[in-house]
Amino acid sequence: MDKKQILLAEDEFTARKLLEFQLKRLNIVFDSVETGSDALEYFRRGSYKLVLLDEYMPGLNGSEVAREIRKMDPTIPLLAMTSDPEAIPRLKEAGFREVFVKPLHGKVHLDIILGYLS
Amino acid sequence: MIIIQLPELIGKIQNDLSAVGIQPTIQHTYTDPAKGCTIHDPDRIAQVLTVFFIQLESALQGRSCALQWDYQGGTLSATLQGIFPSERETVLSRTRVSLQCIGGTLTLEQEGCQLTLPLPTIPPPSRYPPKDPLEAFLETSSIEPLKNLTGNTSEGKHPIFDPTILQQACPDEEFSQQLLEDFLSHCKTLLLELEHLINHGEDLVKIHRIAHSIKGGGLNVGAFRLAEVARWMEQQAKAGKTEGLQKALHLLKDEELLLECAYREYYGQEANPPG
Repeated sequence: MDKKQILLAEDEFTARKLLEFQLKRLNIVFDSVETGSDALEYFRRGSYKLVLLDEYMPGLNGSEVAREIRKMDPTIPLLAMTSDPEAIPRLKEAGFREVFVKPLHGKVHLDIILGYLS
Repeated sequence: MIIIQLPELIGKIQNDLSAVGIQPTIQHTYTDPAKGCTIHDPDRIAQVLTVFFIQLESALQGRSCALQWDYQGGTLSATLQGIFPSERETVLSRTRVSLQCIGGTLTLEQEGCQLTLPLPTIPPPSRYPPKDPLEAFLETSSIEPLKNLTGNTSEGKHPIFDPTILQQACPDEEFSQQLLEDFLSHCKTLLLELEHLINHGEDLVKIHRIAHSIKGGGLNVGAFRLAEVARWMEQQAKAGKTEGLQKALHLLKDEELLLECAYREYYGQEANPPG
């Protein structure tokens, strides 16, 4: 199975479209889903180098998805997105290596993502 | 006595004003929104309506034309009673309409039919009521548009629309404009959902989710004031509080309209630079 580079889970459409647009421009192969449960389903079936999760999603939130992914792959880099700066410590404790606070900034966040992919 | 809904009433007002030599402008969309803003101040609306109907009565050359109205929760309930020359009958309209004052015009709207008239010149009220907790929150809170674990932080203020946010996130202007258009369209849908929820039982879980979505989207497109009001509503709903939700909804509607005005003005200027 080909290894895709990124699994992206974000229910809010402006953030999702922005990221999709940016990743396409960089020729990064990714899967994009809108819910935590879809993210888990994709992760079980696919193979990724990095997972980027929004924290607040319908059903399973990003932390819950991260916990399940950790059980399957303890080493995969997990990155979180949130609009609440107060959530950063909690997300770090949940195992996210980076936390992006919205609004999403192109170069800053993409450089971090590229750093993990390289 | 005839019961007449607003669309018919607008036609009658137009006919009657035409009969006395006045040609009101009837439009199906409001114009020039970039120069104005929406108001929800009942005192201001009372002033505007009073002067408007005095002018209308005068235009009808002394025929009786009285308006009783009540403005609550963003909705104007109006009863217009008058003798109109076209039918010589008493006209009564009891209807619910929305009202906006935008860019020097007054717009009454019901079911897609709008009446737009020039606003009378009225000085603003000399005193406004004291600030309520929501207004105080909006003045004192601040947000951080960028902060990640590497410690990079920059403080943001509260512009209606900060185009640099999308420019930084995405250099493709066509994509950015489309994203903003999509957000505005989506936001209108979410505001309608919020209005329904707040007026029908206040399901705080759903209100929280929608406010969160507006906040996140607003931040991403540079609509910081919209995002800030949404953040306040999100926090209220999360805390299980219903106080102020109605007012926050009005503010969200205002901010959404202002965002649209600011966005169109910005890209309009970009598309047609002076000189």
